[in-house]
Amino acid sequence: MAAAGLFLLAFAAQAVIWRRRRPRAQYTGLLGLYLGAFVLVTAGLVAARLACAEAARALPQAPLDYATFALLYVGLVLAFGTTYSAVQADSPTMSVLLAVEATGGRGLGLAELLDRFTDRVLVVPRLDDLVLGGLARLRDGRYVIAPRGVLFARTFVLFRRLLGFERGG
Amino acid sequence: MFALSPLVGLGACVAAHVIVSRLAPAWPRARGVVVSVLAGGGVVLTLGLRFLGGPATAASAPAGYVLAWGLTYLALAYTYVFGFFNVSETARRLRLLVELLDAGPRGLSLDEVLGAYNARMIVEARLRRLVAGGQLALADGRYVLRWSLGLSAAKLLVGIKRLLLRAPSEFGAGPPPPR
Repeated sequence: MAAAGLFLLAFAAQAVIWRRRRPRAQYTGLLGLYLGAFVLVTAGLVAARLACAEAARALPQAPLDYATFALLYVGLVLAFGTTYSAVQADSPTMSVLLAVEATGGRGLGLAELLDRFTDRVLVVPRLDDLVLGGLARLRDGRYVIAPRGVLFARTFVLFRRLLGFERGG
Repeated sequence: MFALSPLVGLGACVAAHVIVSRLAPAWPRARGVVVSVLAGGGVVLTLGLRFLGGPATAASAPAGYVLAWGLTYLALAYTYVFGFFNVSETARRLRLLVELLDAGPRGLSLDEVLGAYNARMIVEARLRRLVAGGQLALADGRYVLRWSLGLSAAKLLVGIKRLLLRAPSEFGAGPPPPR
């Protein structure tokens, strides 16, 4: 309960902050916000327990309580972070479904979909993300992978080899 | 130790996914994912039942712990499936990174990137998956909706976008402010 409550509080704080001024480094902002909320609340719980406050009886008491609280909170934040990638960047699959639905049953042909979902919509913004996120650099009009990008790409290439799958995308 | 059961379950889920993918490559990928998540869930459930039957039940509300571990496992499994496996399967940023990795230190121009990976490939791959999954049907050369689970998820995401970005799409939200 405490973990879910803290997550909802942090989400409400995110909604307020993001609507006013979305951070440029969105994932760093997310991490700072949710981690900061966790540290603050955990410190508050420990302080309340040390002070033997009456209200602290309902709060985590034993190490098992804290471990369960921390893991559930981390799990919820990770799951939300995963979902947030589809909030920050439009998913092509979801966009196709919404576009087809908007026709009210008439449907869309491949040519109409390709007119709507161009390289400027689907590819160029994601290249910009790579540059902004420090995973690639734009040098003399050429995109070059950065060391962080190499590490990131190799991790997933290795993972797919482990599964025995071909290249994704 | 029992508090770590969600992590043990996640490990079992990933191991099961590797084994299933290797032993049954012809299976639809969604089936492999479901089997793996169930395998990890089985491990968490087994550990939870051992906890309930052991001396640790002196703790108050032991079933509450098991419920919390189950929820934690579900959150971690969701992260693995959608944040790791699905990213490796469909994410454009990762695919672009892999193209840049293959290109080496010379890198790629925009035209070269688009030669290797472009909007047509992205749209056609999604349409194939949506038709194979029964969410879209191709009738008289037009794609029409059949099944609405993906659409419901898309509408939920639009709701979160409206709440956080004040727009239904990344293109309506405008760029984040400069640093």
